[in-house]
Amino acid sequence: VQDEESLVRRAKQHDQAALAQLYEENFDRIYRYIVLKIGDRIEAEDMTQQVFLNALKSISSFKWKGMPFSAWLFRIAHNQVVDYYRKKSKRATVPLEDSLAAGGSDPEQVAEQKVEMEQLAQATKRLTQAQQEVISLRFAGEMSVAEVAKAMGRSEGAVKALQHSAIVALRKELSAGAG
Amino acid sequence: MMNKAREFNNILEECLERVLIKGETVEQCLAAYPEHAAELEPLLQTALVAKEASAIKPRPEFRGRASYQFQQAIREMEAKKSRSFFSRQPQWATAIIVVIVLLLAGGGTVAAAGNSLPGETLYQVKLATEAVRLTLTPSALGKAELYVKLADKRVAEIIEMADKGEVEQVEQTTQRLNTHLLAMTSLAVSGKEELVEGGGASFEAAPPQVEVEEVPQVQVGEVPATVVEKKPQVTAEEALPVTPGEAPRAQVEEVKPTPAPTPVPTPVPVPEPAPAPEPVPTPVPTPAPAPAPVPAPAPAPAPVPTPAPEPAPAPVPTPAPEPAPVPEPAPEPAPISVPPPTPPGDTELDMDGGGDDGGIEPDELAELRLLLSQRAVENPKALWELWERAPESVKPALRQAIEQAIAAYEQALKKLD
Repeated sequence: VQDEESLVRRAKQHDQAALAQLYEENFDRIYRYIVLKIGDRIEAEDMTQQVFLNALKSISSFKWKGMPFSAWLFRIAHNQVVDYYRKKSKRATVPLEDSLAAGGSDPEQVAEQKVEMEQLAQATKRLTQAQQEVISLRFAGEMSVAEVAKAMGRSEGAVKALQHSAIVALRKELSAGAG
Repeated sequence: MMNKAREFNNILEECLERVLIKGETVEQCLAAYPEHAAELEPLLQTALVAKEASAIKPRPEFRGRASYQFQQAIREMEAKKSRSFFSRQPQWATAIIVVIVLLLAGGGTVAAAGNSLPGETLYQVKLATEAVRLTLTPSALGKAELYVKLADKRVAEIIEMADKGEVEQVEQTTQRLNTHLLAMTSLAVSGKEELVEGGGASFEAAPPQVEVEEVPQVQVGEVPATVVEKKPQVTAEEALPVTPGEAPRAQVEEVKPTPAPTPVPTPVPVPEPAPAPEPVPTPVPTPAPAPAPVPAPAPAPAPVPTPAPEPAPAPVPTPAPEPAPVPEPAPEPAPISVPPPTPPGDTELDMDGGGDDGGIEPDELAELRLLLSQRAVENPKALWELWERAPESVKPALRQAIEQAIAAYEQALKKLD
């Protein structure tokens, strides 16, 4: 933690190496998080890039409060996603992922099927917002329960409960999609 | 009941950690908790599926482009910070002030600066002189040609610096080289587009630009009501008990209708004019981009993956789709690799606005292209030759210089086409 704190301190002073390290460490995770949230890899590329440019621009206002730096980046990414959906809802609305709605097949299939990111993203969209967030941060963002708890402002116990219910719901959605 | 649920959540988390992070099998974990095996197994399988599906990587070309833009943004930020008094003055005023000061100080300084090298005290004067020359060059063609010449100078400097083993200077000079070529292309292309299409189409489509001062305004997990596309189904979690110290159920699950977050804007690195140099309108002797003499290829001491017997890439009159081969040796890749640039625009030396940039005629453009295509062959060739004899410590930086030079020239030629 101390290492990250000093890294972030250097980054705040625009130390190029520190910025590059934070960028490298978090780039893939942020990208995966966004893809899982929006289900569009190409769109996610631009948004990922934007997350880091936004972060760079406001890093001097970042205050270290013991939270992992990645939590801050995920918040920026989250805001980007919110913004993306807001803009999208203003444009033509094409019904999303209804193919996954039908179903009720054998849940056992989930274990065997090969699920692509896009399918996962569509199935995840049917979960509650909080469940989506937990799945995105845990599986795509590779955060620990403790980190997710800090990022979401909840207790670890609450996050574990959410994680449980999210996986149950996800399994149901994936099974439905497979059927 | 409550405790039981909490206990199961803890076991599930422990198993997730063991299976997803530590690489244990689902069976190993089930064996540790046989009484929960039936409930755990499907959940762990689903988590595994989700984890595998999430394990995607960004496309390398996107990663490269993004890295470049990020680096560029860092540089611009630095440039902005260190911008001097001069750069905040109108450009003509800057030029006049600098001319007067340097005349008073003596023209010898300027002359001496002409041969200075990166890292030397007078080098800033040299850059300033170049900037003033650009400012005082009225035509777009003149400016574009000057940029090509400045790129030659930078190549010559890279060679000198690499010979001296000055890695940092090689890197910085490579950036300047890139910048010159981008500025040249931008200038030439906007001229060309005006002629051909009568419009002011921009060189590279820049991403939308929005201002962001405070970034995070929305708590992760919250989404404005307008964004929620449908009512989520009732979930298993509603049946889960709330443990002491945890948020009540409604809080755990609710979707807060947060006030719509201020759109998180999207700043784009807007190229700034350079940290203004302290210029002088005196012609600077242009050191020829002397392709350094190549010593006879000694029996290679180490297995240096030299590209090809002859270092020169094929002549590039027409930009080849594939960049010329680059040796693969770099032992440790730079933290952020710099791919062929797709940069946002202007450059540190482009003070612009000094004269009429009213566009370049087609025949002038052809001449410019010819000049550039010669340089696209000669300059990388000179760097290749240097590669053979450069100290090992400089090779990674030099390799990057070669890659970037090839890419920048190619990009420029492509744009001119």
